[in-house]
Amino acid sequence: MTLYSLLFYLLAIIILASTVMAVTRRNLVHAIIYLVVSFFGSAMLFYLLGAPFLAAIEVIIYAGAIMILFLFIVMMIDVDRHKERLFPIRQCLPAIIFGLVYAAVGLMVTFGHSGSKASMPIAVATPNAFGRFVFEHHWLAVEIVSLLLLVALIGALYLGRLKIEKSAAAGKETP
Amino acid sequence: MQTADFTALTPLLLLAAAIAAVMLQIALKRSHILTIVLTLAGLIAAMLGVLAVGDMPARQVTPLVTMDRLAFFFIGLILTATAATALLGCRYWEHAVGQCEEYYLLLLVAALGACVLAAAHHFAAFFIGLEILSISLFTLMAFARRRMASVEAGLKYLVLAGISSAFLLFGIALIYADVGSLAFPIWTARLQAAGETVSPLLLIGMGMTVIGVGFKLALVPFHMWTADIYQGAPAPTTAFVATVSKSAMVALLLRLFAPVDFTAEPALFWTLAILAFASMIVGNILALRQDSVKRILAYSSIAHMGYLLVAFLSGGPAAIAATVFYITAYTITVLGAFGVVTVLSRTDADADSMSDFQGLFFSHPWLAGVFMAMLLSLAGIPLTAGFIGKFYAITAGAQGGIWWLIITLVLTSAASLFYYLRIVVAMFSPPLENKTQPPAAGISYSGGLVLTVMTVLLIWVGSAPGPLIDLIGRITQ
Amino acid sequence: MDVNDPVTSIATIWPLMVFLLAATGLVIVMIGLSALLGQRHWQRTTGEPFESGMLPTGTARIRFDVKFYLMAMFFVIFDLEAIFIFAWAASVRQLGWFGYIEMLIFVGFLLLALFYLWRVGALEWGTKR
Repeated sequence: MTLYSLLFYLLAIIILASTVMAVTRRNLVHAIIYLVVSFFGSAMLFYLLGAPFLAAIEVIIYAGAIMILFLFIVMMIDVDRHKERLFPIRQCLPAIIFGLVYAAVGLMVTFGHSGSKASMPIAVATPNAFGRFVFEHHWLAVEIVSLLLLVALIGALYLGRLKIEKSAAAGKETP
Repeated sequence: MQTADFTALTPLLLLAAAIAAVMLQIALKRSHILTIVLTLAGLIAAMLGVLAVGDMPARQVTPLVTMDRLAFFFIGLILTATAATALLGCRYWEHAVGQCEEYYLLLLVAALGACVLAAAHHFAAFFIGLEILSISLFTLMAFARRRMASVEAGLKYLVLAGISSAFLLFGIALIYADVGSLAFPIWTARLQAAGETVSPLLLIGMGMTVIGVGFKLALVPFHMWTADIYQGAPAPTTAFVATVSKSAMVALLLRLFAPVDFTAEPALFWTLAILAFASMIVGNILALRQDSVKRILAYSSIAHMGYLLVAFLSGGPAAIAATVFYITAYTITVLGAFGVVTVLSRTDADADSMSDFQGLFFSHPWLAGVFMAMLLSLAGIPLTAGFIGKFYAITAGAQGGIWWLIITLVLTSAASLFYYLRIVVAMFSPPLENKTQPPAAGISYSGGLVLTVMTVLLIWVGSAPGPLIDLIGRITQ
Repeated sequence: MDVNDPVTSIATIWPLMVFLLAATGLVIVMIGLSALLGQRHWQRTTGEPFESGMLPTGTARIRFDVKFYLMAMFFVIFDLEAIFIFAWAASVRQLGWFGYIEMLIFVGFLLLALFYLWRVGALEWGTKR
């Protein structure tokens, strides 16, 4: 066992364990903290697989921004102290089915014969190479993504401002 | 990055410029009328752009999109439908509480996402376009925020679109693992070469892609969202969902699967054939049991996507042309039908139940006439665009020899007459006595314009389909 | 790169190793030192958050304003924008002017969005004027 594979399995265990903890916690805030650990593990896994820029993105976006969003939403929705089962039977069955399908696909990817074996050579995507790939070959995608971010912003603002609007409208009706 | 790239992208660039202009205008000074004018100006400029560069030879701009005649045709269709929706929205949002200028901004962005989908040549473009479209769509659905049904529709769409995107993304990953490229031509070539011995990985990936496409087209196992969203969303949004989102997805369907020879790929053929069969049967049966006009139109849209798949699956030389013709006729008809619903709607509630349409002929004879024409077109009565579309689909199917699907199409269309005629009968029955009168506001100029244009197109395509068939023949060569 | 070659794999992942060791070491030292050196006493008010001042009452799980969500959403979106800028910055010399113009358009759209947010008052935290 090389050092490389040792690190891989170590990270895999960290990711799996923290994700299992995140799924089974009753306290949503605890679940989110475990999820952050899981994201950090994935980031290191990406680094190990030769994608340092992806690792940085994983930390900045997922462990940073998305988790803050999650935390704020948990603060907003006020769901605590639910006494029912954590996993109702009705939700369990589809989850198990999807889990089995996922496991089968994973096994197939690992052991099955792919049609074009040589299609995915191992490569190291440095940030520089990544930047050149995106901005030289896929420049159109960059500009379209800016519009995607724009519409997400407008949509979130429009739907999120419901409360402000309501109070303003109420103020207008009863001057 | 040459000038030719930008020339080919002209419509999209103009549309993006319109988005920037409308956004700046809203930020500087809110004015409903100014926003509408800017939106329409942008859409018309983009349409002129399509006319100007539409005859150019196909050009691939970055690996993502290919601007060919098919793409330009669908972009033109999408822009027209968006302009019609904006015009319909004019009167609808006029008296809305709060700000409504963002509606047009979101419409423009959604149209851009749909245009990207129509020109997509790469799974990355497929996914980005789909996300832009979905995100703007659920905001548009929840736009009437004071109506719980509208917000609920937006939320349902958000959750279900998220799930379908997850499936699609997983499918794309599997396809990439097998093929080693995200470009459409490479994947269709690989599918073609594999024949019956296609690897399980590619098969699952393909299945998940079909789920993603099927969700947007509302084919039967993935149709759950349709009725609630058609009913809950504001009427102009429903018109938009039923036309723009569907036609963009049909364009994508053509790019993904049309190059594949179905006889060499039975798995794909049977998957799509069963979806088509189930859509025709379930859509029509459920429509029979509805009492709400919007829900009837929702279930009929499911059935119509089934008919469209019959044309597509025929695999003969006429398959692509028949599919394109069908979606064009369907877009015209549905814009007209939801146009009538929009015109009759009030700010607080849409015209929806049968009783809202009872006696329409006596209060608004012209509206009743237009709505009847649209319903007859949906049912496939001669002299309407819908008839030619169905006829074309059946001819293509007969060439392809898929008789069991054609028989299903004919039988279910015959059954569908029942619920379309129910609405027609309601319109011509005497008005209810104790009914609160629908708005006496009358028809706005903008709504009237849309309805007139759609009716003229409907009759013109229905009675003299030659020019449109020629045009489609030219773009699908 | 051959990942199975032990020489190259160690050569590329040693910064990660050093960082991991340093981070773990720092935590061990911090906790260990305070455990060794710190004083242990347990009195009536030791467990309370403030040595003097008001005692917290009730639960911390109350409903917060929806504005928090909006701010988090804006943060995520502008964070994503930053990611694209990072990718551009990493290869800015090779990309040249074309990349610069590309980035200008990208940032321009988002700047427009920021201007829009500012004008419609989405960035204001207090009550509406």
